[in-house]
Amino acid sequence: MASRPDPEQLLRQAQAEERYARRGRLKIFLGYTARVGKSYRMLDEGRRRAARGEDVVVGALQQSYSAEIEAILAHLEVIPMRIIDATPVVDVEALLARRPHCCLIDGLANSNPPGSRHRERWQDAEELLDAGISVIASINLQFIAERRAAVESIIGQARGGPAVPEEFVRSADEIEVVDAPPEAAAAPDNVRQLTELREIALLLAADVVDQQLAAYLRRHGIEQSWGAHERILLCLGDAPADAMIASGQRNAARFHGELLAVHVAPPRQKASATVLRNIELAQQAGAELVTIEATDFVRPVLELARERGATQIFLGHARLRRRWQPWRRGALYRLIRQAEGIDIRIFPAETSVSLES
Amino acid sequence: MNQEAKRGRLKIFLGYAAGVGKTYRMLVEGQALQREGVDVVIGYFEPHERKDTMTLAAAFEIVPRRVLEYRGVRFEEMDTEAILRRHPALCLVDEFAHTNVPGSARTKRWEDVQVLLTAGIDVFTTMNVQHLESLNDQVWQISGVRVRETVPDWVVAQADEVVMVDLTTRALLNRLQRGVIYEPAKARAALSNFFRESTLGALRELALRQTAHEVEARQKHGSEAAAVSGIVPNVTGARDRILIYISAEPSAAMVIRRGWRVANYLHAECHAVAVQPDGAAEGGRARAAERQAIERHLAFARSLRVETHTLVARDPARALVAFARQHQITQLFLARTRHRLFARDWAARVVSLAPDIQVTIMAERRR
Repeated sequence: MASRPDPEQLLRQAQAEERYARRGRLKIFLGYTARVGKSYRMLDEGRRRAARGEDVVVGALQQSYSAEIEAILAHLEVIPMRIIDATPVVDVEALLARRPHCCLIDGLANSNPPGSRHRERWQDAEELLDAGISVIASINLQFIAERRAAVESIIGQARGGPAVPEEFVRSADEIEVVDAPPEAAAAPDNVRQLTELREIALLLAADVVDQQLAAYLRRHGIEQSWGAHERILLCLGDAPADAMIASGQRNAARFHGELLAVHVAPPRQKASATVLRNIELAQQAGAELVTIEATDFVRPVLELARERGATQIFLGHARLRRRWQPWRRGALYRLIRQAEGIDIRIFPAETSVSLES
Repeated sequence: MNQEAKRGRLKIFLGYAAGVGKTYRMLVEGQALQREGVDVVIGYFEPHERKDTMTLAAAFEIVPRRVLEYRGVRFEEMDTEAILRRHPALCLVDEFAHTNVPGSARTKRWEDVQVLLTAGIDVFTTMNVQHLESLNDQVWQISGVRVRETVPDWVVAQADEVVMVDLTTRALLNRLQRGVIYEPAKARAALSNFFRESTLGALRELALRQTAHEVEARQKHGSEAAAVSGIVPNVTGARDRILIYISAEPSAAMVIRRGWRVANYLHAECHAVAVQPDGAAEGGRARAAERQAIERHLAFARSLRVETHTLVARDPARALVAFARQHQITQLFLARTRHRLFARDWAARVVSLAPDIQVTIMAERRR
């Protein structure tokens, strides 16, 4: 299991840890639309931290705020923004000189005019983080670059304008969702659109939490299956499996889970046309493919399932019929006995007719 | 005018642990409505000695709790009848999953809330994701805690709105360490127990996913978000029909929860079937105990609003498969049987009898 650590890798890891230790901490408040209260939550957290003695300043504000937020701002030190081409820009130099422990940046997805230190506001935040200043920022899902296509197809119009790379959002040490149902006053069509955006924001946050959790468990050497996330493992074989693969795709999508596919074959065996087709279908369905060379099928599948935290194993009936060995318990029997904590789903054998469709 | 009261609206503030700010958020929203002129009262509120929430609660009229005595100890419960008499427009009710002391009119607080809703009173309430019935096994797997106070999923599904009250695990742990949530002794115990960072992270993920699911379920129109985020419709167009096999073994509860959950996510029909041994009246004490266990599991399935059936047959595997064929079942859910030396594996037999049906064999979640 544990291979000898590679010195190069250890060095890189140590360097990464050192960089991380020097870097400021990033916390992001994520909302699915304007007016759900991101700015309020962010500034309120700043106020509470300042009240507990943390050195907090405000580095970026929006144009106007409600009276409620203005009341919070009265308790906070604000580093005035620079005005370039009539556009307010984060004064990175002033912040670096002031060196607070924590800086609040509202409206992370703003572009800076030409002649500014960075093109985008999130890059200003990045520089502060690199200088060891922690940043608390707010962002609207609609301004995450990788989510833009989805957002535009939902609201039915191209938005253009600034965007923050999702990688930056995912790099946050903490991400908090600011959730609220769409305002009751909104038009029904708007409610539908906003509801879809809301779902995407919640799932994005869940993904980030999942990723952080996996990293945490790895760092602490804890082997724990947390099971908050469905992971389906498809066992591909030498029989048509169109329905099984489609079902895997549908289940993974409905549960917003992950799809994996494994093909186990004896060494140096040439893959048949059916096998190749199954592999292609699984990849089209979005499955990550793992190929294992082995003569036995049960053990490698279960090992992979445990390693990857699979919650369900899908396999075809055909898989169970071949190479029946009367002196051993059947493959299914062994799978069921040994699959601790994993569901086994067996699919009916499919006829080859589906090959043509 | 003889008019039936319009049913009240239910809004649930969903969190993942004590101290994330569910009650606070509920009170803040209640206060905002009060300012707009809505008649709001507190029906039940658990201050937990937290300053912020206590200050907020002071702004509301509180309907006094009912005092009950049980085995010589005084208990205080929400006074549902008094709230009905007071009849506010909106009632704030903390701790939706609470179980009332024996002797109360209803067993569960969520049942009291149903009464208020039926009377046309809107209700805001709070609960943690771990109290959702169908997640009971997953929560146990994550935290090692078997949550006893649960709310059936259909009750939550009926809520008009479910809102996630989010807080990062680090912020929650900081609060706990500062003594905001519990007094120091209790906080120390909590930190080494339920409040481990990994446990909280997993519960938080569960709550985020559950809220996303609740949001999606309330979406009436075809989902474009689904299309872009990769949701694939059932290609055959046929609706899935799921059948859960109910045995006398304790694992039956897990199969029911998980089968129900899969059905819910796939928008599938869900049935459950139990097979009682042939010759109903005969058999010794062991048989009677088995029969009782099956009845208990059937009742549990019905409480989740799963349609149940009981068959009488000598060969349960054959009866189960025949029933599935008759009812065009597309998926069968069963638990693997506990190990019995020399016993032929029951699940493997069902699979070999039903090569035309999807069969899912569930393993107990392990810790």
